[in-house]
Amino acid sequence: MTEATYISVRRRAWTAASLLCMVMLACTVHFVSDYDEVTDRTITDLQGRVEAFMLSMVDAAGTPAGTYDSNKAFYTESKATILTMQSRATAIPQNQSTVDLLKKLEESINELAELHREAGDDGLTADVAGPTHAVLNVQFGAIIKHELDKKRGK
Amino acid sequence: MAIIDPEALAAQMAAAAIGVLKGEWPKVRAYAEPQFKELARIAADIEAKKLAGKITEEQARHMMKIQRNALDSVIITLKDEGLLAAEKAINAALEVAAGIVNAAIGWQLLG
Repeated sequence: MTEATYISVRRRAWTAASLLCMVMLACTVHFVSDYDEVTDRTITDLQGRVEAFMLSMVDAAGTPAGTYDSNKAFYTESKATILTMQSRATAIPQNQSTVDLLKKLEESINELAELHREAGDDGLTADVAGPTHAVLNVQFGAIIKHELDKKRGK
Repeated sequence: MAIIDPEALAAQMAAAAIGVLKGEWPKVRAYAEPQFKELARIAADIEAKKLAGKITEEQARHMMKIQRNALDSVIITLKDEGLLAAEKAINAALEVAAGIVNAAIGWQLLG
């Protein structure tokens, strides 16, 4: 084999290898959606707002500032945030798990609102709010972990 | 007098889940076990508050529903990781818990 032929064969082999890599990259199958920074940022922000709300409600329990009627706006805003996230998650292909996790969170916020409403003038006392707060954090944690796992390609 | 022993209840729930998952339990354990303990703790707490007259049946029902949603979230995450038996295992654990909790508290909170 002459040097020119050898170089030509090497070039062809290199081109073929490059093309194969490109084809493989183009054909990568995604079973789960890609990481979505907006979901990650919005859910983390909502968790912070729910944390602050629960703590302030325990402090305000038994006062007019701690009743459901005085805090309806918080529930409306939280539900609006979750519904907006659900719409976004639904629009992303292969993202059903995130949609389902957000629906479960919406259900829990509705349950919390009912718990608060039925407590009447007592508001969300530490007895009721404490365990509920911890469990809500599990749901937020599951959504955040799920999103971060996508980032790591899991 | 309190009937629910949270540690024993969590252990019974774990045993039911292990019965379904067998070899896959180690993969599920880190997610499910803290939730079994939390559900058992909340059930014991509700029982104590009921005895003290500090909680209504409706409040208890809302608290348990939120706990159930947290467990469902764990199931969704595990199924997404390919652990399809997780749902059956956690439901088996919840069935065990329902029998004990509903009988002890006297309210239909689970199941």
